[in-house]
Amino acid sequence: MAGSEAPPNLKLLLIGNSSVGKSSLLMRFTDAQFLPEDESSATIGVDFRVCKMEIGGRRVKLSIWDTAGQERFRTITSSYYRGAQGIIVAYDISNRETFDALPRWFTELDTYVTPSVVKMLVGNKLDKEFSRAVSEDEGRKFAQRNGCLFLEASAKTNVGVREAFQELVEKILDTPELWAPAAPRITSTATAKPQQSMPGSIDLSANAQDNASSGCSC
Amino acid sequence: MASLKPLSPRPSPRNSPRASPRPSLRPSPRSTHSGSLPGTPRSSSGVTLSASASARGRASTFNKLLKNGQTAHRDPDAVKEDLKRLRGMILADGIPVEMDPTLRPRIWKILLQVGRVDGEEYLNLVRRGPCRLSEKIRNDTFRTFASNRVFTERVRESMLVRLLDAFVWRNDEHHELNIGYVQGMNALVAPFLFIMPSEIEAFYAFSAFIEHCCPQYVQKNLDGVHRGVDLLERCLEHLDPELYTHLHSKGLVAKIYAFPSVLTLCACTPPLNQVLQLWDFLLAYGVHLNILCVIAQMVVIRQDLLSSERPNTLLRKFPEFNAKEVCAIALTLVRDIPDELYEELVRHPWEKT
Repeated sequence: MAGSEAPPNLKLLLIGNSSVGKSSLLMRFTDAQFLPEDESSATIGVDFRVCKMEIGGRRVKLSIWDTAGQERFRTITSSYYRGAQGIIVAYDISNRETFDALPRWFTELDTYVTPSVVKMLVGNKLDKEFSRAVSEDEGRKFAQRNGCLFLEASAKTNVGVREAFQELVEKILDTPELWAPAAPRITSTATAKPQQSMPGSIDLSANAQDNASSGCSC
Repeated sequence: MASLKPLSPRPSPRNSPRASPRPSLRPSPRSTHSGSLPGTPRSSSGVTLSASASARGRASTFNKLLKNGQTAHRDPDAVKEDLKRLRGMILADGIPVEMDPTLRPRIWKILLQVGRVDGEEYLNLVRRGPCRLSEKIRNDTFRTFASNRVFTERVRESMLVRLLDAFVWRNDEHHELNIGYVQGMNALVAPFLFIMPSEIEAFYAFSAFIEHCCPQYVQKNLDGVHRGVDLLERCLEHLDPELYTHLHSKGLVAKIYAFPSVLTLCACTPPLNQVLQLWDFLLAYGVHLNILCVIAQMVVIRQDLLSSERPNTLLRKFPEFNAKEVCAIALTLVRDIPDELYEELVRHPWEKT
């Protein structure tokens, strides 16, 4: 247990077109693993991981939601936006179409999350530099226009993944209005859990208490 | 299209609800719940034989039964009776595929009422090339059971792509079902390509399966799957309140943990040979039973789930299962579900809301 200062529970969401590597980014971050192409499978519905992270001596509990990229699942995944403090929007730098689809994802974000939610654009598959279809500059400019953080990464070669999550979480911690309202629940156990019935508000991180706090263990 | 299913289509409603099979779905449930069923030889002849001899005996019983179907103009009542026997045999002893690998494809085609396969029609669909959703299809086909060597040796990615493309073309012409391609369908088609002797047969069996058994599962908004996970939730609450409450206290709802198992009818959970055996059961008695099979898989690890502070780690990916055990437990669950709920369960994969 964390003593008097309980770590905030943060909810992060991974979105982006199918097959850009959302699940791989998550797996790399939480399990330090990468499944080769032929062992991965398409996410159906949503997947989730819970882990802890230490940032600047501060512990946070993360529940990270990994959503299916295909449109058909958006009716489900949209309900998971609720309560999210941070969103990673991923595309594949070697697949132009996944970049061109970004405006649609941002429109969806506008619909479902408040403007203060921290967004991070991640250009994944940096290991495919040889078949790059989106320049870093383009990615960065798009991110700037949409007011979000930006990084290029490779889940495969473990470049930029940890940094992406770290930067995102740091920015969230710098934005107290995103997570401070949840504070009363530490002092007052009588307070009913807010929105417990909504799928988006499920507090999976509550289950991660007995975890070792080094790195991100789920 | 209608010519493919000479009899009344949709197997589930006829097989499952009030009519007949539900009572027959409760053979000595008590003994099965204890887990004694899996190993118990209940050979149809009632004689205990060595394993291979009894498999041979079962294979020939199946073959005899299937031969009946080759006679033209049979009395519908006799056909019904044979189907009932066929289902019973699947349930009691399973299909002895190791003795006769041709049995399963033949039986699946019968259960799905695939009366005729039209090579010309399939080739025409294939000739049209990539469909409007082809890119999505290709995004998933290369990662379909890709780590299963036995599977990838038998089923090439190009077969998956061709068949799914053709399937979308076929359904674009029959808008009434409103079916396209949805992630997870790659896992649903895989067993058909794996067991059927030809791609064409796989195509017709798969089409019949989707269009008649579970069209609601692949609707634009996945309506049937939503109903399925909702029903799973309600069934679990009814069948095992303790487990239900425990999972809920951890924020775990069926929509999170069961979506893949519902949408893919457990095909997402290895091993494949157990999936096939589970599907023997689902095709025989109705795909709605999958919901109970998912609960059954949870019953198997019930103690672990209950004692775990973090059951989400156990349910993120369901553990490998034993089909016989899972079906046996599912059967005992059938008995305890209130009629109205069961009725809803039966209808949810195919009935329009």
